[in-house]
Amino acid sequence: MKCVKCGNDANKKDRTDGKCPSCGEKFAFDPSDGALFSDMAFKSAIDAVSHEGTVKFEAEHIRMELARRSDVRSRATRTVFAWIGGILGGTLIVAGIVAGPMTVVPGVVLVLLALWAWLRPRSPNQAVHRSTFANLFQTYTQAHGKPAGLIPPPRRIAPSAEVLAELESYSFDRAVICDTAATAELLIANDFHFENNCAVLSIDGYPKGVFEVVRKMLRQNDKIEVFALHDCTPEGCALATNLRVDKAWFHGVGAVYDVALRPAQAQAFRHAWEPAGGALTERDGITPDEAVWLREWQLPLAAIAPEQLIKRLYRAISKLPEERLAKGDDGSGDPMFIYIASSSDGGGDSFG
Amino acid sequence: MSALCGVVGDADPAVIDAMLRAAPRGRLVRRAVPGLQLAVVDGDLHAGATAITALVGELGPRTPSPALRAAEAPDDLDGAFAAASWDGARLRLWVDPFGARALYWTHHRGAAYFATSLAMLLAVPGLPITPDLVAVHRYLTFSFVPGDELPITGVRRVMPGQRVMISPQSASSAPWFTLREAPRPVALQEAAEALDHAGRAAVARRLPPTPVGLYLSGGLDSSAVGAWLTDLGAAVQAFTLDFGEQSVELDVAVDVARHLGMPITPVRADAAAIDGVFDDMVRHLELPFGDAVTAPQALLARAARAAGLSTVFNGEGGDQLFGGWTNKPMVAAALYGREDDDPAEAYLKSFHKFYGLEGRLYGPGMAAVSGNRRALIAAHLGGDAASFLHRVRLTDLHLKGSQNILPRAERIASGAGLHAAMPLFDRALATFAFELPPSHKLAGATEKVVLKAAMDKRLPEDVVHRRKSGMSVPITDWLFGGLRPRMEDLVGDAAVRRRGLFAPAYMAELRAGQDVANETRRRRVGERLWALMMLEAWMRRFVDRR
Repeated sequence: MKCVKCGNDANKKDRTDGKCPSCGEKFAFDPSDGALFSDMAFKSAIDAVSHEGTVKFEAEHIRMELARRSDVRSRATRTVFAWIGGILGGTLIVAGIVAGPMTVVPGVVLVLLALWAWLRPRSPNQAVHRSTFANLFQTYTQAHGKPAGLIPPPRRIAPSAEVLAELESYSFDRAVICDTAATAELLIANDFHFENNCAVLSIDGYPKGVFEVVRKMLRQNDKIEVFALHDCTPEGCALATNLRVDKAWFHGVGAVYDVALRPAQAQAFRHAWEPAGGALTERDGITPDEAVWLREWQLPLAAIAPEQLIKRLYRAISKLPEERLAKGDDGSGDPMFIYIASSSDGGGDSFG
Repeated sequence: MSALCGVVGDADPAVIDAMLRAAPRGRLVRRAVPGLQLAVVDGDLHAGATAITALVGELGPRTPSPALRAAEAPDDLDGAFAAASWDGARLRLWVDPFGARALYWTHHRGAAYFATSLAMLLAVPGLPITPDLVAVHRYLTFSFVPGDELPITGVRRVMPGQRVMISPQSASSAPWFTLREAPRPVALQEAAEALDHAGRAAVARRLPPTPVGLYLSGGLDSSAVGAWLTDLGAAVQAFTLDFGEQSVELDVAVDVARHLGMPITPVRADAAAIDGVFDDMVRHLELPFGDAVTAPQALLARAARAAGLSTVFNGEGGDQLFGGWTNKPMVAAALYGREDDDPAEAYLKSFHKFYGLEGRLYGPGMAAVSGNRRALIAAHLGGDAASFLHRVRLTDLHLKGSQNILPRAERIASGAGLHAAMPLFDRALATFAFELPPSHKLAGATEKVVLKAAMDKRLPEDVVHRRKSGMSVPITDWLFGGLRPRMEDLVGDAAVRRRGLFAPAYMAELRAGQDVANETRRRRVGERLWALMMLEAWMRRFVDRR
């Protein structure tokens, strides 16, 4: 098992006291004892979401990356099985035609099994359960420390009253409004606001110290472009509509676009689907087809790796208004922009 | 182009000869008195009983004895000049308020040498020429060399608005011009009318009786200068950059020129054209200037010279005075700070070069270098201007304006035999700009409110009111296209290892087009490579002396 610190590959008998014999770094996990992941598998997932510490991320992104890798491995296994079964089955069928019928039936069965393995829908939700992952993550950080790039508890503070009084009179050209404080903090921690001259707020009042000032600033620009960014949940999917109709937000001001995530975009992230609560009250901003999916499933935005999210969001907000497609209709006659995520859902598939 | 050089202390007159061999040709005047030797090319020199004052460049307002007037430094002293004044015991050196002209100095073997050109100063026999890595470190953050310490050990420059007193063994400096915020309440329309008047006056102060050129980008600032030139009845030939399919503002520039009734020449800017001017550009700039826009500016200068012009106007300075694209990122940074944030951090990041990437870029030769970059910003960002916006504007003006935009424009113009007229760096206009309340610069999300009000109805609506995106030089395309051989020569693996400053692995990533993981703008990898190329080219010419 490889050490995450020095890369030394040590056998179990050499790992005395659960430490690397080369550098003394403690191992967090031992798959031979039933652990779900090795230390290196965990580190590899961390490196992927953080790009070796250069992109800020939440622990949830690691959980999603592990789920994605599990799904990739599962798909790879199915693909291999389908090919082997198909080739073997085909061989048996041909042999039966040439040499006698005894192998035809088993050959047909194998081919049918191979087709079933290939074509059957992928099971959604390969994710490690949240509470299981929390324990794993705690174990990992106790052994190896908090990973570089992990977003710390936010300690955002407002500027001085004097500076705030001046800043109040300014505004932004654009704003991203998120459904959760965690998403807002992810963008802010990665300097999205700074790089894109863009306000970032969550619908529920984050960042607290400047929320009311920034919201007031945004309403001062009657041409403001607002982008709703949210989990694929009923509340998230209704976010853009709520922003549009709420007088405290953007009723009568600017334009509001929904950029992600909606059920149509969720298909590329089956590994991260989570069972929904079940009941779904009718609400504006959700189409009947979307409601069918949302009754059964939900998908957190953390399914998209932070670097991908930032790039996709940047592309969405950078389009000129006339380039934005009006797709989907919430029934109100008010067309919304829907950014269609690409089918790429992550990076490499090495595991462990 | 004019030049000034000399030595304080005991030195062989042959040293001045050596310095003058690197000077431009022109009318030469030399003076030697006990303790001082001085030479002026195409400048003004006033010698009294014991005192001597020399000046090169343009002084405003003009007087019969500009050198003497410069020595007195009255409150309206302005222009693009470098001056030296000797009182019999000490030499004072100073340059214009915003650093258009340069003046470098150094101590060597018990004497103090000074010159308006780095090439002239480095011609001093026996002067050790070694790279100053602290200055290189700062350059890599800002993409220009900030502060008075140059990337050659022991060589310094006179900062804009400062006067340096030097003797053979020592030097000290003090400000002679300080721009301060002094806002007074004034209605927007009244301010707009006053700005219209002040801008036209600033242009008039720089307008020769001959036809002039105008670099017209399609943006508000250069268009405003064009409007004022038209008001004054000047004969103007406009030039604009043509990036081919990647042009963003070419049509707008053409529209403005048509609106103002001036002919316009699109100047083709592509990789081959840039390659053709590269070496001359490095030579004329004399310091590393790492912004990609520098090379297209060299093409504009060549075109203007080829058209027979001797003075070109531009709109540089509008962002610094009236608010530009850096305001909103700084507002955003101020709103979303953490309790352990340093206000300078956001400003350093706003240059989008190598701040924060030192750990990846620097090899063993640079790893231990630090440069106290925050101190360069702190004086202005944490200065005594009452308003946040004006602190940001003053920081921009002192750093980007006076130490990057203005001097590089002057060097490129003079390299082509042109005089660069930059009326938005006018002292009186700048003073006026900082008497305006911040709300006349940024109101809501609208930048340059007062300038837009002044130009409303005078320029096409699209120019006045559209959201400006900034000039977009397709540097990344050029570097991975026609400029690739130049790139490989300057920052290829062999060159990187030979120079020994940077990590080969990171440089290989950049050359492969790989930038930081969450970088959203493709142009940034090209901009970073260009900054490194300019540094290497500068080092080859001025340090290696190749």
